[in-house]
Amino acid sequence: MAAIHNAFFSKGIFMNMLKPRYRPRCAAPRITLAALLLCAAPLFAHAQTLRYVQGTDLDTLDPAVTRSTPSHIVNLQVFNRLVAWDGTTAEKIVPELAESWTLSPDHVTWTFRLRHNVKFHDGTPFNAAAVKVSLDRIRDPALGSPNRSYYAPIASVTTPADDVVVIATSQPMPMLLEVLAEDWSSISSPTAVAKSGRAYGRNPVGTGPYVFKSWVQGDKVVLERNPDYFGVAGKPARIEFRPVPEGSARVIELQTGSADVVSHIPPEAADEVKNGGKAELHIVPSSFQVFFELNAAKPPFDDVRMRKAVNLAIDRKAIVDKVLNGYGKVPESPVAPGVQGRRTFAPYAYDPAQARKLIKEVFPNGYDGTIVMWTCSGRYMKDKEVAEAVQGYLNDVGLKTEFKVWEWASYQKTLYRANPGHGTGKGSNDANMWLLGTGITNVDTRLRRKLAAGDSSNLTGYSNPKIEALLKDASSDMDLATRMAKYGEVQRIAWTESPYSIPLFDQVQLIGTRKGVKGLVVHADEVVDVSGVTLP
Amino acid sequence: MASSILASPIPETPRGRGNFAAYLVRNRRYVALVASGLIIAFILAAIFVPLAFSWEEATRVKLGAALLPPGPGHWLGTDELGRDLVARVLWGARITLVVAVCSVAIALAVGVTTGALCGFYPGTLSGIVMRLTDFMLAFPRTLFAIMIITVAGNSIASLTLAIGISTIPVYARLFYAPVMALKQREFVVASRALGASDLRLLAAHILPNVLSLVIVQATISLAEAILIGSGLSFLGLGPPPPTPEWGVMIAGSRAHIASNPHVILAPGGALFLVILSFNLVGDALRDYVDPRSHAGA
Repeated sequence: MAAIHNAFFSKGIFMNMLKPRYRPRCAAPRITLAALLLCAAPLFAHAQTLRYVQGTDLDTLDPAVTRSTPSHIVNLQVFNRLVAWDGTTAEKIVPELAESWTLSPDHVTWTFRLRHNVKFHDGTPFNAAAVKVSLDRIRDPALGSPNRSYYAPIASVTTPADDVVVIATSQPMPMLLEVLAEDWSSISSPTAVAKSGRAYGRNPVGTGPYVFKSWVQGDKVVLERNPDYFGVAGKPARIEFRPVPEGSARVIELQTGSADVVSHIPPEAADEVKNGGKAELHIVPSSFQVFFELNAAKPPFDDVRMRKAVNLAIDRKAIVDKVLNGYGKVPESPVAPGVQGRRTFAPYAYDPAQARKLIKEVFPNGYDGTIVMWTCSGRYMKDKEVAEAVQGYLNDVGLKTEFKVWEWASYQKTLYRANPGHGTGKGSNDANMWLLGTGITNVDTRLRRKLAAGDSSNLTGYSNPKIEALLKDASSDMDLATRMAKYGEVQRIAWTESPYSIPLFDQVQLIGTRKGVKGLVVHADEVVDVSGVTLP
Repeated sequence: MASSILASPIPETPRGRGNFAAYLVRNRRYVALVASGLIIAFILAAIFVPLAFSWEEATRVKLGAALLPPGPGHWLGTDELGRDLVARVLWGARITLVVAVCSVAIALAVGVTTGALCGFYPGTLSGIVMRLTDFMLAFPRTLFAIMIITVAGNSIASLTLAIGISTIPVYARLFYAPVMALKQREFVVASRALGASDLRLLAAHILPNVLSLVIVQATISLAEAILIGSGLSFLGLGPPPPTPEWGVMIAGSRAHIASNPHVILAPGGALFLVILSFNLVGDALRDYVDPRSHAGA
């Protein structure tokens, strides 16, 4: 048997493919054939593989746990949720794994009817039990998901039939569908969750258009098309996601044709991409807004007039035009476009004279303290440069400043560190202002975490009884229109009456694609759907 | 660089060879002569820059004037936040010079004292101290400096301190052996026999004989200190913005290298010229004080 095996393989073409350089010269024709085959294989794969390059590596692919956009982008291809937002706007919820749903007259019992004949990638059938496992898992404190608090009003998840899920809430929960449409409500295969345990974040199994194949940390994630997908099948046969942290290196990937889609093109390279002839530049509005938060728990920004003064001292138009090369928008609201229920207002004027007058009102002899400014570097578009420009504008109206640039991980850790009994009650209390950004599209989450007194993400120590009352009313208001009106009023107070921050700019997404790549769907929160992309 | 000096025998103070400039001309080392001129210009610029440009001009953000190309009014153009690059590069020279000189002074003061004392009084304690300096020498200097800055925080002072402390072992090692050797020389032994105190032996007989070594090593250390200082600043460990430190400026203008290369060329060119000059002058100085290179001259 072994002899036959050797006789066949040692002279066969396979040997050439494996070890061509050990063959004698007379084997040239066979080597050529092998070489042709070897060349053709990657060419073939190349035409079918979508190569997506993003700026940061993934933390985990467990949808219940992750909060980072790069992971959401991968999970969107692998998983489905019960419901989804229609298209790229946060206006209407449509069915996905649930076919339909009803709400009881007392507004506390939701009944979802599920889609039939859906299978997870590992063969496990999708049913009510699977939904219950996924939702109970994220609600379980033992998992420690940072997204757990969104599910707090849910009292129980029950499965009266194989295709029916009933969610009971302890009080009317107008946000339930919005929460179920989030990435962290993705439905995982119960078999895979049980099998992988804590390692599930590296072996995700869903029902989506793409099947997770492999993930080498810092190198790439590979997905393959799911042939049994219940919805519209994905277009590329394979998708590869690669992290390339350096902005200019990402541009090179695009221009040399080693990537099909590249996210976060640096603004100073945008013209180069646009005019280079090898790639196309897509400019898409983003729900990301970058701002300086102001410490409302200690002087000078405990006085609302000082908070208004610094808002008048900044020339945002110049920042957008000069620092961001025009790739940004002057904010018109405390939330960026793409956020639900956004209300717009007149942009803050650039009026240094008025700013000086307000400062003089509060401090007749000028403020003699030093304003401590913190910023991160490289996290948001041109963050450090924008912060330097703001520093210049504050100096212009006579404020002394001290500037500190942080590395992102320690910055976040310091800002959110609990420091009870001191000012804001956070590590942020050591500064007067700090630069941050957020892209959350859910209006309740976005406003509550910054403006509600005592919220764990409220770093400024801001509290306003009017806003408290509005947020409380809105959280149980089942009528969409009046609920959104309440959020609109919160935005008005935060913009005109009592600002808590200096909104600096609304980010735009700069995405580069290789010429001829079509069908990219970009959401406002920077999540990109690539399942419908066609390659040239 | 340090190792080549370590290997050379104890140089004697050059006498009767004319001054350094004359030496350079006589030996046709015109490049080193130009380099000396550049260093003098650099030092003068660092001292007198406040007369030409205010600190305001070097740090005040004017977004309307961002990324102007070189031309009248702004001879090197403006940076990404509209600040004049001539003002920034010259103020940067002042910061660079202060950091380099102070850090080398720290290293000299502590390092030479440690090395000389350990060489003069060999024993268990000096053995321990010298093993400790060996340990510090084996540790990467940049990493060592990063550790110090992490503890002391970002500022010009902590940058100076970090470079200074990380340079101490270089001097301690450098002076240990020559002092030990000089101690055995006849003129020192003779002086001791005449009843001279240890302090007098060190100050009057030993230190003057290692002075040339100090000068040469200090020149080279200055170049190294400038390079490490701007390297640390480039990594974000230097003084915070808007301080016009060269490394900080290079880091900030890196993004514009394709569209506006003049922004990175100004601090980059200044850094390149100053370090090259210090190295060239250091080499020439070493030859100047080395008696073997003057055979027949």
